Amino acid sequence: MKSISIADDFSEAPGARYYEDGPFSGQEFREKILNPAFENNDKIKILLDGTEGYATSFLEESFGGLSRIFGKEDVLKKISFISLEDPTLIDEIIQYIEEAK
Amino acid sequence: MIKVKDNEKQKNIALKRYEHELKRKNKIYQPYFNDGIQQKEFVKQSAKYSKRPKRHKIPMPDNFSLVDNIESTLKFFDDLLTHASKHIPVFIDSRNVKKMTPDAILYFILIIEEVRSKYSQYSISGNSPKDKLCRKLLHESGFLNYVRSYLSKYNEDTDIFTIRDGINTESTIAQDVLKYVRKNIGINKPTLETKAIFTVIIEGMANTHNHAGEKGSGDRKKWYLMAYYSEIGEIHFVFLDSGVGIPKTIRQDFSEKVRIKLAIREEGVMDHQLIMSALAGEFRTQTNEKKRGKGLPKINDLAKDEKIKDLVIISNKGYVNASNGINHKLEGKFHGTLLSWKMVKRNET
Repeated sequence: MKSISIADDFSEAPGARYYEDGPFSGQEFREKILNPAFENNDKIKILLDGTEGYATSFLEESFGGLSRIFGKEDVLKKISFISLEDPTLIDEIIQYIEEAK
Repeated sequence: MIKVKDNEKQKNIALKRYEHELKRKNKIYQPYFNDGIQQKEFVKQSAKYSKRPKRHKIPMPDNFSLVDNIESTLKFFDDLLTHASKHIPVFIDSRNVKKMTPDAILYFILIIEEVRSKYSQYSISGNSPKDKLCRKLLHESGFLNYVRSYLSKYNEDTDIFTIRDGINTESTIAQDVLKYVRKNIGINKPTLETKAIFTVIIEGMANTHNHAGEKGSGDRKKWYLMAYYSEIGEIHFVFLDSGVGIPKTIRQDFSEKVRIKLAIREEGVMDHQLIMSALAGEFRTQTNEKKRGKGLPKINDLAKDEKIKDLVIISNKGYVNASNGINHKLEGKFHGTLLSWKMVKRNET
């Protein structure tokens, strides 16, 4: 299983949605880290703790964006989330994956 | 030979006199925010040498605050803009201000920059408050970086998170705010409250970048950010953007179908009601672009869950306090969108 810590592997201060919004965007995280990991691994564990926080647009573009590319069933089957600091984030992200169009 | 030498000497003297005169005139014409006592001398000299129209004195409200004293403070800015539109120079008299909050300081900067962009030769001058705390806020907040002043513009020892501005989403600036919070509140790791502050700032920056400009104009709007830890143990955060405002964005961005369904007409629904609808996520659920429009509902949820305190949103003609439910229409128009909220120091944090 591949483990990805957003704080350690990407940024402690994630930004907004797209590259043009500013640094550390959801699009950047998805294209540079999530997509390759998704294509090369059967299971992925995402560690959400350790960052300063998240904007909705970052989470939606990262995980909702992944769902738009690979389909929500595959994304939900392959990815699991861990957050001890703010467990409500997990439900929020799952909602983004399920609602992604 | 002697004559030539004399001529050169006379030329030099004349040049020096001219330069001296020019320097003096330039000094008089500079707009400034200065200390009141020295200001008197300055005004005397101005009157002696300047032939420009007399400056109209506009007193700052005693309670210079958008959050606590919105109508008087907006009227002050309205007066300023009215005089600017008529090219009547103004003198902002802030000597008797008793209370000042960061939101009014940020909005003052936005108005100064707006006036500067519209009327390049226009002159605004002013003095400093007598009240120590108000004076400190004005001098140490970074406000002086946006005006000309002989007062020192930098104070490394200040306990204020000084004004930042930008046009993009700068998550490292939001991180700097949290370092400031941790230093003053005395915590060393992220908490749900600090994460909420980060979320609000990034949402504000992203909204400025994506929605604040006039539709189709391509112009980029600016955001301003400031935080202040007061002696009563709370941190006041203010985020302001110079955009078209939430109500106008809704009116111009959402389809006719959505607007009819929610009974929005140009004048039919008041701005504070539109802001409340946006906070409730009503527009997000009514549009096809479901991935967008989640920022304001998220901020509202954070206020409801009391992760952030005293959330006030002011935009166009709407005032919404999402924490205590006091919402109303404004008499004056607010330029842009302001988010103000607080974090209270608790013993257990």
